[in-house]
Amino acid sequence: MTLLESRNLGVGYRIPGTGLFSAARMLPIVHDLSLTLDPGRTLGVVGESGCGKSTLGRALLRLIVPSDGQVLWQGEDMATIPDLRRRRAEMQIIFQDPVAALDPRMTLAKIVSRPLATFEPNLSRKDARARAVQALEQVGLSADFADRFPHELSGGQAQRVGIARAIVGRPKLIICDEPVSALDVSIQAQVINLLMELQEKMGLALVFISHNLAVVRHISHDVMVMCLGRVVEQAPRSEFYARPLHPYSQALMDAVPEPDPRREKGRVGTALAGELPSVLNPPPGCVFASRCPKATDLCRQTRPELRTVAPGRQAACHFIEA
Amino acid sequence: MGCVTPLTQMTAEPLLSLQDLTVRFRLPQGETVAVDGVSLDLAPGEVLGIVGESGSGKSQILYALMGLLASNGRAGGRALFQGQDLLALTEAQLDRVRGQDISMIFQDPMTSLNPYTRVVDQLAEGLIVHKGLSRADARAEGVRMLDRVRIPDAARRARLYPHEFSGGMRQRVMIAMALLARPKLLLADEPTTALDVTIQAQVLDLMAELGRETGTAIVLVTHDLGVVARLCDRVAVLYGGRVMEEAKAEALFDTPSHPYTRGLLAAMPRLESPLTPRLGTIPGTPRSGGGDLPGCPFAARCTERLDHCTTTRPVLQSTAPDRRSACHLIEAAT
Repeated sequence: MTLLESRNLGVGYRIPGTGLFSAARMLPIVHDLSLTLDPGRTLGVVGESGCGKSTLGRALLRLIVPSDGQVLWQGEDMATIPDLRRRRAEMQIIFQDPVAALDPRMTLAKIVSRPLATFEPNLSRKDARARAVQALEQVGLSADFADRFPHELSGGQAQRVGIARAIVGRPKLIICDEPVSALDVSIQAQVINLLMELQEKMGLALVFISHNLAVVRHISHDVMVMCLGRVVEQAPRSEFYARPLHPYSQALMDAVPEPDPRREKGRVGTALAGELPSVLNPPPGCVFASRCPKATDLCRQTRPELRTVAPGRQAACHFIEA
Repeated sequence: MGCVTPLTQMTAEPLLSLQDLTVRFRLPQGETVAVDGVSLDLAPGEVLGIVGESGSGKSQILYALMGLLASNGRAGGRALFQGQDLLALTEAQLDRVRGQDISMIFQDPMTSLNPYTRVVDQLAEGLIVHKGLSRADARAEGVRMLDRVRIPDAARRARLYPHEFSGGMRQRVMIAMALLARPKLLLADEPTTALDVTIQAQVLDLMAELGRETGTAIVLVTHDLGVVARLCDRVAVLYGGRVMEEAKAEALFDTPSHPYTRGLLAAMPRLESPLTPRLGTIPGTPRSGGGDLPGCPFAARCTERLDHCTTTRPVLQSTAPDRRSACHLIEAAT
């Protein structure tokens, strides 16, 4: 059964009106977004800053209440799940800044066991601590970390604690919001490997939000590319990386510098021209039209719908042959 | 324009020569060594990449050259720029070099620009101070440079304030500012780390193009080996404040000789190489500084460690033409 599904999800933030006395407005961030995620699978969500990927991650857990559409958790509408706070044991989140995500005045054992006070209130303090120590060990931190404080940790260790806190309630899903972006390369690899191991052992599903296409390629089963709050392409991993179909996906892929000087030096001068349009003033047509080398008047005026362009693949572009 | 440096000078005298550069910080618990005896040469017009993880001391090298170390920091050794030791200059002498012969761009373009001053006036300031241009001429030159770094509608945008620019545009303003005085040397500290990939590609292209046109030499400090591959002629890999390996970019990526370089490359997920079930990893956590260690700063994390790696420091030595490496394994092999 599908674990998580969003149907035509829309999310917006309230912002002040333009004048001193004008009413607050809704600033739409995520538009009409539908996705499904099966147990044990990883969906990679890629896009540039401001594309709405982090907002999507929070809305999927109803940490932000969507303004439109539905999120279904194992077929149940999240808006009507009774006692959602406790059900959140099944769905957890880890963040980009691993140190800021930990309370500096709590020991690691307290930080990691804290969710259990909500999820399993009948657990004794001793048992909760034992579970926390067990979770710390699962993420590769020995039991003597239990009584340390966050400031004693490196960034990589802090992210491991974030992961331990997420798995202590035995979740089915973890939303990973840029979990390795703040880490050094050698530590990034350790954390990615850890997430993949935990996924295999615990049957976890992951929504892996990242701006790094190479990292997403490594960890994901399916990939979704977002631009200005909309999905522009969705595909299984191997098909996507073998041949990205949307011009925006292609541009993102071309922009990633690879550790190969011969290839890179040959690509100098191929960068996209133009600026990302503002969320406050979205274009009427395709979200990528202002930067797309193939854009025509049709693209600037009419927004292409997301449609199936090959088995299992969807893209929103006027010029992809079905 | 093109590179005007005569070839004889290219081969004879480096533009910048770091000789046993050290940076130490006084801390309540004692002194710590951030940069531990780094020696590197840079030819005119060359692009040198300094790669390393956090705490490797890579940024402190640039700060030491520019006289920008924190107040508890002290630089030692020599940093010869056109034969003149930058570390021995007075503040007033350094002011004549900075912004004129040497410019620097930083990771965060927002905090490097003055929020209260129009972009055009920030650009003009250096020309008025260093080149004695009139305000009007300096402004005109500033607008021309904005256009040059592809700020659309430069004449109008020049009159805006930094907050009205996007991150990518701000970094292009920084580049325009850095290159206005036609410096001989540009120091770039993680210039694209805060930018999206598509914008990063634009900024890197721009640096490559302007560097080629003006003959400006660049020292690029970054943690990203991909960025190095795109821009750099030569690369130095730094760990614990010491150079682990130095080589031409192609040679370094084709045949990395130091275990640390190999580890870094294996840990990088790629877009094109075949997928492996797990990424390569380097165990442990990056170390800050290494001055207090008798052996190799990387020894604690090295999977190929020999017995004497923790007790004897490997010397950075030539292993092939244009190539240096500091590792006992390589010494043992040759």
